[in-house]
Amino acid sequence: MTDRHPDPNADPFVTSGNAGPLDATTEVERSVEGAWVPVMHQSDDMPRHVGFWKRFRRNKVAVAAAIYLILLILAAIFASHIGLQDPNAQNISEINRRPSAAHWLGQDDLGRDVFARIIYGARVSLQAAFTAVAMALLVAVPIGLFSGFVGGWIDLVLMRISDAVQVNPGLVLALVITGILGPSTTNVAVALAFVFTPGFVRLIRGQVLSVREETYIEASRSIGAKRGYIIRKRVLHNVASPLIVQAAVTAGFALLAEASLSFLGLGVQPPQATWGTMLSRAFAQVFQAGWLLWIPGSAIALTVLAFNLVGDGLRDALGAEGRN
Amino acid sequence: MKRRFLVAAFGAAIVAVSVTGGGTALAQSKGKINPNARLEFGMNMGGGGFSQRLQPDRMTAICDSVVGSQVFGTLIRRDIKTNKPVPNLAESWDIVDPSTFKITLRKGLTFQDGTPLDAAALKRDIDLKRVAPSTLAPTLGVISEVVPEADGRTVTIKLSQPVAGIMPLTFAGREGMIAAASSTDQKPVGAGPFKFDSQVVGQEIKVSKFPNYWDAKNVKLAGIDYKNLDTAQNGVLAVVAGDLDMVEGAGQANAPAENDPNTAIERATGADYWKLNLNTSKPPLDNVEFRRAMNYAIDKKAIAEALFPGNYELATQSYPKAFVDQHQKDLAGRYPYSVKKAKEALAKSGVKTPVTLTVVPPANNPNFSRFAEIVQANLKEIGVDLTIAPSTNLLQTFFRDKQGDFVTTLWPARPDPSVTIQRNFTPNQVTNAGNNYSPEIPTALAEIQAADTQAAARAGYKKAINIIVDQAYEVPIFFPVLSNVHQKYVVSDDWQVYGSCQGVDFSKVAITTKKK
Amino acid sequence: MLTFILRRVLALIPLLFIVSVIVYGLILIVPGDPAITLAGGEEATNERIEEVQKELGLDRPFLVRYGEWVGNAAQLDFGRSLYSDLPITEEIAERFPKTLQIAGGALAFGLLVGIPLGIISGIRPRSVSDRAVVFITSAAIAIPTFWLALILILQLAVYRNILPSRGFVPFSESPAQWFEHMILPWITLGTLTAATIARQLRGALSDTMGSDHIRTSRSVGLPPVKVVGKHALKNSSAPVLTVVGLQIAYLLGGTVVVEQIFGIAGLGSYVLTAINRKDFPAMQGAVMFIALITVVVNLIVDISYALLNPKVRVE
Repeated sequence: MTDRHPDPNADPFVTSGNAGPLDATTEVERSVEGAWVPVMHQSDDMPRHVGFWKRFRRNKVAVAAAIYLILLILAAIFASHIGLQDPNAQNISEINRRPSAAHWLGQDDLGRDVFARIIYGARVSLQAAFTAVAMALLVAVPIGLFSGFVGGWIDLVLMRISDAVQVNPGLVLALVITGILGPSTTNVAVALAFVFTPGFVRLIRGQVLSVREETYIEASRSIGAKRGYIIRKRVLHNVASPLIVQAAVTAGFALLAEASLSFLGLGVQPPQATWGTMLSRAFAQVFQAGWLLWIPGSAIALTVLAFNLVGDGLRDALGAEGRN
Repeated sequence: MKRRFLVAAFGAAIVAVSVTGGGTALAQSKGKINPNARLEFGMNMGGGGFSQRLQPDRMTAICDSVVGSQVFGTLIRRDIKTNKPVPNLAESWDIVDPSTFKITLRKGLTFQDGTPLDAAALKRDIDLKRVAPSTLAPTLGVISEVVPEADGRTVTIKLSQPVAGIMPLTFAGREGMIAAASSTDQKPVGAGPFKFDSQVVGQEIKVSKFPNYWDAKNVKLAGIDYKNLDTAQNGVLAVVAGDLDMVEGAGQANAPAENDPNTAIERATGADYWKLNLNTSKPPLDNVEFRRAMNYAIDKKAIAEALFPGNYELATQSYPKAFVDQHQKDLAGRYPYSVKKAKEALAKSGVKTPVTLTVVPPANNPNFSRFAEIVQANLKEIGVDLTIAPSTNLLQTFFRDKQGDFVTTLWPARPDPSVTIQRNFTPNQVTNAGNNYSPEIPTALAEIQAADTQAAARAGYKKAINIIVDQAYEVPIFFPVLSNVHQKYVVSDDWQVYGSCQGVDFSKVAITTKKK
Repeated sequence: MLTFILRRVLALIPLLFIVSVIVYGLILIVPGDPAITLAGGEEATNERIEEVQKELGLDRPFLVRYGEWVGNAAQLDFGRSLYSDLPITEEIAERFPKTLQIAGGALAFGLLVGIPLGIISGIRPRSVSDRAVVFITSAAIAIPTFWLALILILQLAVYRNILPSRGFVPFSESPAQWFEHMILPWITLGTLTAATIARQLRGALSDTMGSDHIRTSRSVGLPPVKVVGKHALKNSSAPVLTVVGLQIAYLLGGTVVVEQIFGIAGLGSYVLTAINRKDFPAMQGAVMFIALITVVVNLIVDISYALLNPKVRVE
């Protein structure tokens, strides 16, 4: 058996050998759709003093994914200024038309321009995903920091609670919450945030614990530095890298989860177009307009993939930098 | 590809059958009917439409009757081609006076547990159904006494209100399903054409031919396997893929079956209709001119085309043309689609635009989403901004909690057409959100309910429908063509397509030897 | 070892207690209740709705209801479904085996496909085969499950009549048909598991392949196949085992989608039905049961992990 040392900067997703699996469970990302296990695209053959950007740039795939995401986000933000057709303009006499010069991706079941709807849909889908992650972080960061620093029975109780949330399959939990709150964009974000929070809490707490044990913290304590100062300066610095990585990957999961919830009828509701609702609508008429199924489906798959690849790239770049 | 042969069945009258290639009439193919074949019928058993409670007085969902009507049968049957009541378990009936109804059972009926279905059993059953906690108490509550007659198979039903006129068709619905004393939710026992065998809750229900059914010699199926499905779309796909024998169709979802050589679609008109159900107590919907403006502003044809392309009759009132006793021809042109007229009515109403309204469509259903989105686009033309706020429980959100201004909904007609008026436009009904309709409607309804023939009810319908249309109490959109999608080896010479989760009359269906 | 197991089992009690609070507490935020539907839906009368509300006990204090529920739940009695009126425990017992067959088969599919892929890519990092595996698994993880299912159904069941599009046949009725009906659900659900396992194994293998231990084995002349088979795989088994433990929750959650699409009445569709009908007792019972199963499977993984690695036991 190889014993791998718990390294504060080590891959947050992969089990460290010393912990039992139940504890290890909590270190590994869990999500609605499953776990993304990152792939090392580059090894440490690069000198350590090389900065983040240089390292990130080396990973061509991650760069391409990042460019795609940036373009998508810009398009979504400025959707109303880039000469798109009105995504809600119906044309009942032209329903389910194939792609044409006037409508690059065709027209949907109410004759609306699919291309415009995909871009406007990106806005709501990404917004839902980012809101979910942001809400989860907003809750998780203070809890994780607090739990890690205070330790003792408070830590124990907080960890049992996050375990209790995590033993439920994410999709089931999200379904129950949206089922109870009622389907809407906000409620989908709330449900997903609830599911994602324990993972982030675990991650932050783990980082705090390992940093806390390190002697330099002890040292700064002995010369009378304030706690707040320690947190700001050292812990947050060490926590930030894995957190950014996990946030990127989680945003991808949120997109997938939103699609699944929409398919099961408990996601974002019309008339707001999200990729998930577009996909489930396309699903309802696959015979009349089969190609409609491929458009939002590929948009989701590509974007999730991009988030994961960017996460990989960030992890490689940040991880190496953090070891300096 | 599983090879299947073409056997086309020709239905009569309004039933249209899509035929590919030359078919043979059932009369010739009857010799090839396989008496041991079981019909695999797909339906949604998981959603809110099916309650699992297979006892007439305990059923709470519309689709429960698709099993119930086969196990229990009904006293009277509604022929969907004529809309007239025809004998079934009951041999005859009589509207003695507006408050007295008499019903006579066939001779020698027995339940599937061997006990007789006689006047005493009928009295026991109706007495159970007419009082709470029976879910039928709202309709059968008007019965004050059930008296068995000396012949042992006739009962006289005394009513506390003069509503005998609606009794025949009322007993064609769930009210007319008669359970044996030994019947339970989980193991129903009736006197219908099929005997309950077993069920895997939420997955499958099996029933088999009941050999002592009064008309057993004409029942051609050995049994029915009801199988669970999630959506109409998946059901149609399963029929096309050869994994199910029959499912209920639904507009657009039928597309895969339209061009499939092994599949046929039966169609029929019913009085189910898609409509906007308005909360007429809420401003500005309490304003008759504003409601008229809505009637002008909605492009009914666009909605029908988007939902049931080519398979609909546009609605101008609560009953389709085929319902000759109810439909008022002279009202058909009252509210043509016209943005100009809508704007004029709006100006007359004095309601200042822009005004914001909220529609509550049922969640999870692409058809209702489309419906609401088109209504949204239509109303925008006349300066009404529509917010779409879907709900998973319309009855609670809209009808009980009074949230939202109107709903996009489908009204599934009950066997007796007067129920449509009663439930939607008379006071204190659950599906009446506004609760402020003209007091003349209950008067007209009473006339209908007391009538001893359908023709006698005409005058009542005329009054009621005129008020409803004139006051624009609702926005009727269209009557969908009811459909049933099945393998061509499933045949019948009298397709009775009930639609809206009621299936077909399975006792008139057969399977030929072509089924593997 | 026994004390280790005992300690782990005891630790589950507070965990499950907190789960029960969460699961039960969720209904506190419910707007509306199922009374109207139970009172007859469109046929209901206003008086009857109020009666049903009383019958459901919804007018009693929350804590009293919770106390009763958790006491019964501890004995695996989750009450009765509001709809079918059957004991929920019985309904779960009837449905769970199907879910187990779907999830178990998907896990088997995941292992059968994921392990070879992981080995192919892990023994030669950055080779062409490795890159191919990384690409395929990346894509597999990014695809929505139901989209994959629909494409499989269209291609294999509707356009070409190779496999059944839906349904379930019990193994006892016909093993061949059972298998035929399970293939698409297994592939749909197991694809993500396979990709996850492959990536995990790849990571662990490329780590161990680089370790001093393996380098030594190779330098003393052991053939590469033997090195991989004997040492590297053994060292990589622990992380894979952990992933398997983690996948259980995903697989059980994923059955909601899969059972819905393939029309199988398992636990997943039970949960969805309960949510849609607002059948709260059924919803709570099923969610609690799924949590229980996840916890038990993780316990088993935990114990087998301890058997593999004696160090864990002393911790």
